[in-house]
Amino acid sequence: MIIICFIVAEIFLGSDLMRKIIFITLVSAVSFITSIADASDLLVQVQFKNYEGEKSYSALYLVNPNGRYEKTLWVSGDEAEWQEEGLVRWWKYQSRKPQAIDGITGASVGGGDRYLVHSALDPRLINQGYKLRVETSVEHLESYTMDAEVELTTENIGKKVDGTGWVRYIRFKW
Amino acid sequence: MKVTARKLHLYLGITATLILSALAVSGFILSTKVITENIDISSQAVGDGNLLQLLKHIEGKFEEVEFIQQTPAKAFIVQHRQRGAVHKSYIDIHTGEIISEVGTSPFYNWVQDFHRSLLMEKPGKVIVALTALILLILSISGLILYRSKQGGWRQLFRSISFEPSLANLHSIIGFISLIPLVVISLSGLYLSLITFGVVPSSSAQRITYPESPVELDAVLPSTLDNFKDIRLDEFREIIYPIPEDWFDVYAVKSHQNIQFFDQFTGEQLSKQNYQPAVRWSLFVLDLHSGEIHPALAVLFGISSLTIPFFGVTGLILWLRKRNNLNLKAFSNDNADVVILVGSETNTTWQFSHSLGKALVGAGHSVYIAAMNELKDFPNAKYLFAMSATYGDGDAPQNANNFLSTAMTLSNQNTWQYSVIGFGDSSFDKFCHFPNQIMNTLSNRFSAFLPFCAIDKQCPISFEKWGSTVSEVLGKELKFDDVSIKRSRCKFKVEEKTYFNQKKKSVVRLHLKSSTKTQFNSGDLLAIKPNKGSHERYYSIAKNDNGQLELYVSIKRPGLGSDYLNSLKKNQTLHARVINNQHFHEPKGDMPLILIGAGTGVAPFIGMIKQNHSKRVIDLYFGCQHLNCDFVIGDEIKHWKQQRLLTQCHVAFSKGQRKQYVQDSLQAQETTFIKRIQSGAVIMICGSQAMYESVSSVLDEMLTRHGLGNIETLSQQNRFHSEVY
Repeated sequence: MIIICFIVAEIFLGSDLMRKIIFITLVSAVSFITSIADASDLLVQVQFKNYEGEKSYSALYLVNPNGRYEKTLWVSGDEAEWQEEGLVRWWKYQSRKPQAIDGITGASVGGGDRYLVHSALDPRLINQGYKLRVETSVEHLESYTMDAEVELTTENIGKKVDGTGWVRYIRFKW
Repeated sequence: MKVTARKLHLYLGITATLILSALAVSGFILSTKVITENIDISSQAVGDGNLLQLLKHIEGKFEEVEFIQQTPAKAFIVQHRQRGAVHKSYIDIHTGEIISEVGTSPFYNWVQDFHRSLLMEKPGKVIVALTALILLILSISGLILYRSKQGGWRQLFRSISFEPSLANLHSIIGFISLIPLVVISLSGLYLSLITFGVVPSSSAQRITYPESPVELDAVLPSTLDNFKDIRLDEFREIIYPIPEDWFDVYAVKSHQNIQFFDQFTGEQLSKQNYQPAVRWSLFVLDLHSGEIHPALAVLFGISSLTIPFFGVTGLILWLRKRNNLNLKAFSNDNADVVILVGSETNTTWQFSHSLGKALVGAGHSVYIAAMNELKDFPNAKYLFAMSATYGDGDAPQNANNFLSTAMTLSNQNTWQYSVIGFGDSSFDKFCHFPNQIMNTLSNRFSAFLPFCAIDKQCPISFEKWGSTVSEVLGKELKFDDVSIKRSRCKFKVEEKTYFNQKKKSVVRLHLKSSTKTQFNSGDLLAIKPNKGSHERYYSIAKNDNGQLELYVSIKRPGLGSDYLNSLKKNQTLHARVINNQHFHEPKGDMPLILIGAGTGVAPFIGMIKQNHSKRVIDLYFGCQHLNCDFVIGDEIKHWKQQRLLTQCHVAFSKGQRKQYVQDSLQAQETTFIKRIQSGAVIMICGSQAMYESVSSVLDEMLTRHGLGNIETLSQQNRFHSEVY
């Protein structure tokens, strides 16, 4: 949208000053509105329990209404061998539906810590039966293929949903 | 090149020794895990077995299996859930029974974390990677230094001396553990590179799990016939499908590939071969941890422990060099005696200190410094140049400017010089650099003593040279003892025998050490006749009863011989044994030509008595008279009968025919040459005069037959002498 505005502005480049000012104001307004629209990023917070041990590896991903893997939103823990060894279920899903995860991989997370994920997810997915799921693993301790899960519904927005393993709770909002 | 390798080795060693030692010790602890996995668990007899048989054996024994793995050491691990909680157990593959749980000791996990990252996560991993690289560089620079010390790549395995000095231990143990340490550092470095993503990890290859096409009734894996084609000796892991995902499959990994099987029908759905990079990563991890074989784990574990040893010894050696003895008393460069030292080790400095102190005791002022400190010494009357040779005939590091400086000295220098070279005669370039010093100095200056070479720091040679110095300077010099410091031991006189009871010219003592002191025939016994005097040295023999044999000539008065003669049976004697390696019986089966006169035959007696391998030994013995000092007379026949001695030729200097040892040798020329051609080694022990006569005769015979001369034999390590 912004590109179209600029192209249009180019056409009007030759015109007088007044028109330029009006047009620039229009362009700015449109850009502002569209950027507000991008602020409908999904925000997910995953809070971990306090535990003694290594930092955890975890994968946050989207599950579709058929209960099948859709896409990965975030991975914490960047060494591939530990991802494969600890996050077994997610690893297999990933292999069937490859996705470039370098941009959505962060450091592993310790006890009591949390991470916040911004995801450009279409807000129209809400109330469609999509779920967010977290799989976790701590070396030498336990792995949970379904540590925490929350359905993307309006009533769940902002609600803390308890985890069953290393995760204390998960919550999301748009 | 040498300077860089040495500096590199030194500075890297100093900076990294703490972290390196910590990683080495943690590595050692981790290696013990592999070893303590006892034989029940590992080395399962896999034979021709297949996966289906294994699955049948474990059927019904586990609630929810997640995977089954085989370790390189052939242990089998099942990860399974019991009431929701995860367990990892070792199993017996024939019965399917659990042998024990895979231990996860928190201590071990902590050590592992420490070893990988020094408990500091990413920055720690970077430090560990750098340290692995440093270990690699230290190993290689250490090898370069060792090559220099030995005198060349071809001499790497030659003449390995086991002298128990710190410097020697550091380099010998370094050389022995070179290969394991290089493998450990390289593999460790590789693993670090995997961590940083520089090199692909074992998970780097894009493996695609397929999906089961149709959901059918669940079946037990032991009913899937296709698993019988999976041989256990190739099998690495089977990963069970996720219970909640009906479409998931069995994944079976070998070293070469991964195969996927439908969980309902057992049909093989797909297969992917592992890329070499992936196989490499797996191999390197198994290698570094020693998992490949318990013997490797032991080897790596022990090699790791040498690292802190190197750190400590390296540090001590470095500090010692820096301290360089207390030479403060010798720091006035206006002194009338200058002693310059070229040395890579501490020992040559000790000799210089001993000389300096003796000269000071005789009223001189002395300046001691490294040879590179050569400059104009207008006040000096005498200049001593004491130097070793390094590696391939080069100057030691602190003497590398000496020769060029020597050419530029001014006419103010009116001193006379004496050059003394230290080294090992088994090396090609024995005293090469000191000879160069002689040549350079002789152009402009004059010598007041002839060149002297000290072989393997032989204290007798130094003592002899010391008395020459005394003579020339016209003053009595008292030298401190310089030799590998060994404490004095207690000996008991078990036997005391005189040859010829009437004349009592030679006494033989049999001593027994009360502290089980080690010694060999050819070593020296250092005795202090009384508190004030300095040590006297005697060549000793070891006999079959483990006794130390000592022969003393008591014709001439002397503090040492008087003292020894005064000892009675069962009396105690305090003395030091000096390891005189260059005069030990040579190893091997080549013939020996032993030439001795008078009490100098002592070490040979020991060698003959202990000639269990019955090698060919020809003894040439010179003494004065049959009745006087023919100490071996009674034993020759016995030795020959027992084949401990092949030939014996005796020369009596005061007998009817007035023969000397060299005369015997000349008479036996044919035999002598025959022995030399068979690779014989010559050993001479006796007085300077005797040595000179004998060596000229030997030289002459050898040259005439085109066999070189004594120097050639010496270079081949086939000529040894102990001269008083």
